[in-house]
Amino acid sequence: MTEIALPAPSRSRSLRRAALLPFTSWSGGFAALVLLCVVLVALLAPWLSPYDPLVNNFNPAGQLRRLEPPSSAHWLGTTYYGLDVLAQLIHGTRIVLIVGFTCAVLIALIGTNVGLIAGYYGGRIETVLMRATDLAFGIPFIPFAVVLVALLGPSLWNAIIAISLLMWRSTARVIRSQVLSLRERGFVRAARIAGASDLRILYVHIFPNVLPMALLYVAFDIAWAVLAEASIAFLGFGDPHQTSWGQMLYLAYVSGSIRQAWWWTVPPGAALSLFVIAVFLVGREYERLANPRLR
Amino acid sequence: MTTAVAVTDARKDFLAGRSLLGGGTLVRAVDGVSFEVAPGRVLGIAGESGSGKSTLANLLVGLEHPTAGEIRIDGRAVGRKPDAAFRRAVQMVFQDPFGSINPRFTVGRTVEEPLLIHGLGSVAERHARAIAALEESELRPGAAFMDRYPHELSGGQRQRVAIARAIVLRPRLLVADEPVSMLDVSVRAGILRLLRRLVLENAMAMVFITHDLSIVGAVCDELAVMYRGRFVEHGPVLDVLRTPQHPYTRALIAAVPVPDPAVAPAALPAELFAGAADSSGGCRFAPRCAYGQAECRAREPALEPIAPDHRVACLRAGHLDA
Amino acid sequence: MLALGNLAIAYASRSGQVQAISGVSLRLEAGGSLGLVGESGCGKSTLALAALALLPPEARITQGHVRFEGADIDRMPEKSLRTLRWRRMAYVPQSAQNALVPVHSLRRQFRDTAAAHGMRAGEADTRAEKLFRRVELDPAVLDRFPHELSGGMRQRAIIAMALLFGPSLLVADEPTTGLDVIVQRQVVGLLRDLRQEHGLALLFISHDIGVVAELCANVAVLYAGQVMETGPTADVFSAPLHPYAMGLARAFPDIRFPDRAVISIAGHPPRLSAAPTGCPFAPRCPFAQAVCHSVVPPLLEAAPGRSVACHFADRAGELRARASDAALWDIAA
Repeated sequence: MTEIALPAPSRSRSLRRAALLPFTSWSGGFAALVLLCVVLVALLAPWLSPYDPLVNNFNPAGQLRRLEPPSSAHWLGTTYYGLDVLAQLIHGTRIVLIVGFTCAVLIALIGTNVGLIAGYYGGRIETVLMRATDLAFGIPFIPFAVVLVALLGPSLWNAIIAISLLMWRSTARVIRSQVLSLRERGFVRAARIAGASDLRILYVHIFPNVLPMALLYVAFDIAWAVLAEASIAFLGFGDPHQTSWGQMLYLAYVSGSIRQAWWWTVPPGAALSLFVIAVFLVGREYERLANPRLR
Repeated sequence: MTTAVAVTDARKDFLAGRSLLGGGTLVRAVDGVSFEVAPGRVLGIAGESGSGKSTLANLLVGLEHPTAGEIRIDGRAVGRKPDAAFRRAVQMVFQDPFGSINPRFTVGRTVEEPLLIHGLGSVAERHARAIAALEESELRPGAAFMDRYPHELSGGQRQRVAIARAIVLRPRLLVADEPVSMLDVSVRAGILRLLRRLVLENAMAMVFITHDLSIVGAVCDELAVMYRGRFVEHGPVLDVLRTPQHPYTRALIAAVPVPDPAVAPAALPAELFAGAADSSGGCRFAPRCAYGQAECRAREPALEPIAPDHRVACLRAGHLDA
Repeated sequence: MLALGNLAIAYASRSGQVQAISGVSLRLEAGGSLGLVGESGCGKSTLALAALALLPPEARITQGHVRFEGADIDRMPEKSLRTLRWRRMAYVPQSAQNALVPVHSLRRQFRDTAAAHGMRAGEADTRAEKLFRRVELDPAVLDRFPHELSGGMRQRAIIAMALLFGPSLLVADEPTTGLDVIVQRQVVGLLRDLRQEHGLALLFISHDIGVVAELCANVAVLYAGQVMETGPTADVFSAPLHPYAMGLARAFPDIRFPDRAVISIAGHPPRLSAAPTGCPFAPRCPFAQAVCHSVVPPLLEAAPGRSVACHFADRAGELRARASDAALWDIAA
C-alpha cells in the first residue's frame, strides 16, 4: 500500500516568515525598526558621528564649548567637558551592542547548560545546580557588581563579567522546567533505546527543542544586560574610557549639570528606554513562536 | 538460534509511596514471567492497566533492569548496563505517534539517528538505508519523505516513520507497545499488517503489547494474558480467544463490545467489579473471580499446560464449565 | 427535542478559516439515543459542543441553527443558556478526568456546581450521595480528591455530577476512551440503565462502533465535517449504504471472529484547512467516479429513517457485496 506524501513548504519561506514576524503588528514593526537603527548606527558610528566623542570642542575664540545647548554646530549641544553629545550618543550604541550581545551569549551559554544538565540528570546534580541558581537569585545585582568592579577595576569587560555571573539564573530555571517535561517524551525514550548516550540525548535531541525558549530569553537578556551596564556606569563604576549612555548620565550628575543640561540627560535616557522597550516588544512577538500555548 | 528472546522468571519490584522517613510499599510490577519467542513469531501480551505489561516492555528493551530473573536476547544475557550490541538487537515502537518522534528532526534524520548513534555506514549509505527503511514501512517514494517534518504527516504516517526507525538497525526483537491504539480505526489494520509482514520478512521476533483483545487475532501467533504481574494464560492466539480457560481471560473477552446491536452484551459476573483486594498467599485473581473456591485463596496456581501449547494458571482449569 | 438544522461551523485560525462542519442536520427525539461516529477531524466533538451552545469563541456558526426543546440556542443570550445548562442538558466531556478540579474534594465540586445553578448545599449533598450510590460509588468517596480515584471511578463521578439536576439530555464525548475494557463495560452499562430509568436522551460521541452499538438506537456517521449516513444502528452496521460506513464496518475487528481479515482504508482523513470539492470521502473511496470529485452529494432519505450522502446510494447493495472483499480496500489509491 502506497502512502501519498503532502507538498512540503519550502524551508527558506518559513525562515523569511520568522524574520518578518515582528512586522505583523504595529508595535512589533516599530520596535524592530528601532533595533535595526541602533545596529546600523553602531556599525557606521565613526562615519555618522559629527565629532570625536572624546575630544574637547572649542569655539573659534578658543574657549571650551561648555554646556552649550543644541545649535547648528552641535545638534544636541555639548557636555560640561565640551564634548559633543550627539557624538557620544552615537558611539554609545556600540557599547550597547557589545555589552548586550556579549552578555546575552554568555548568559545563554551558562543558563542553558545549567538548565539542561540539571533538568535531565536530576538527583544530586540538579540539587547542586539549582541551589547555585537560587544563590544567583539571592545575590542583589548592583552591590555585587559594585564590589566586583571595585576589586577588579572599572572596565567594560569587568562589567560584562559581573552581569554574566548573575543574570543566567532566569534562563537556567526556565530551561530546566522545559527539560523536565521533554525528558518524559517518547522520542527521548526512543533515543535511549536506540543506544544514544546521555550526552547525545541532551544536546542532539533535547537541546533543539529548548532552543526557541533559550533564544527568547537571550533577547530579553540583552535588554537586561544593557540596563545593568547603564546602572553600573551611572553609579560611577563604569569604564571611564567608554562613552556609554549610562556613563553620560553619570557625568551629567557628577558635574552638577543634571538639572539644567536637559540636552545632555534626556537623549541617553530616552535612548536607553527606547532600546529596552524595543527589545521587549520584539521579544514578545517571538514569544508566541517559542511558546505555542500563547497562540 | 532458535529463540530471539528468552525470558526466565523475570521480576521487577518498585518501591511506591516513599516518604521522608523511609518506608513505602513494595509493588511487584512483574512477578515471575517466563516466555520465549522465536524469530518470525509474534507474541501478544494483553492486559489492563496495572497488569505490569508496560514494565515488562521496559525490561525487554533495557530501560529497566529486572530485580530477579533473566532476559536473553539471541542467547546472550542482558547485563546490568545494556551494551551497543543489545541496543542494536532490540527496538521499540511506541503508542504515541506524535510524541515518539522528535518534532525538530526531519523524517530522514529520525530514521538515520540509530545508524548515526552506532556509527554505521557512510553518509550516503545511511541515507540509502533510511530510504529503504521508509519504503519497507510503505512510505513511498521514500526519498520524498526524507525532508518532511513530523507535523506535516498524519498519525498513521508518523507511526510508519517510527517503525522505519525501529527496523533500520535490523533488530532481532521488536517490542510494540500499543502501536495502533492512538490511530484512527481506518488505518489500524494497515499498520498491523505491516508489522506482521516485517516480522516474517526479516525473521524478527515481536512482542505485541495491547489492552485491546480484538486486534490480537490479526497480528499475533501466541497470546499471553497478564494480570497483576503474571501470565494467567498463554497459548496459541486463536485457542485463547475462542476457548479461554482462565476466568480473567473469559471476562476480558466478554467485556469487549460487539458491533452488532442485536447481540446483547455478555453478562459479567458481579464479583469482577470488586476492587483489587489483597490476595496474599492465594490466587491473585480470586477476589474478583466468579468461580473461586476455598482452595483458590490458599494456594497460588502456577501456569500449567491444559493442552500441548496452552497453559493456564488456575486451580480449576478445565472445570470451569462443570 | 434536539435538532441541528443544516449547521455549518467554521473556526478562525492563524492560517485562515477552517470549515469544521458543513451542512449537518441531525435529530434526537426525547428519550432517544444517537451515536456520532467518526474519526479524527470529522467534527464530532465540535457538534457536541454546538448542541450544548458551548462552542469556543473562535468558532462561528456560519449557517443553520441548533434547536433544543423548541428554542434556538445558538443565538440565545448567555443568561438564558445558564438556566438550561446542567439543568436541562448535561455534558460529559472528553478526557472527563481532566474536567474535575484537582484541588477540591468531590463534595465541594458538587456543591459548587449546584450553587452555580441555584441549588442549596444541603440538597446538593443529599443528591450527590444518592447519585453516587446509583453509579456504584461509595458516598464516602465524595470527600476524596480526584487524583485518589481510578479512571473508571472518576468517570462515574462525572456522570453522577452531570445528573445532578435531572437533565433531559446528556451529551457524552468519548466517555469510555482510555478506560480498561472491563471498566468500560461498567460505565456503558450504567449509561444504558440510567437512560432507561430517567428517560434521558443521549447524544453519544465515539470512534468505537462497538460501544455505540450497545448504547445507541440510531447512529450518524461523520466524515470531514459532513454526515455520510444516518439510520438505526442495527441497519447502518449490518447493511451500510455509504462506502465510508462500509469501510468502517469492515475496519473494526470483531472479537467473535478473531481470524476475520480486518481492512484499512487507504489514505487518511483530510485536513480541513483545505476545502475539498465534491464528496470529502472521494479520494479514499474505492468506488469513486468523476462526479464524486466535483459534486457534493446531498444527504437524501434512502429508506424510512435512513439517509445517505452518496451519488450511488441506489446501488448500495452491489457496492456492499464488492466491499466485503478485503482486497478492494487495501489497494485503493
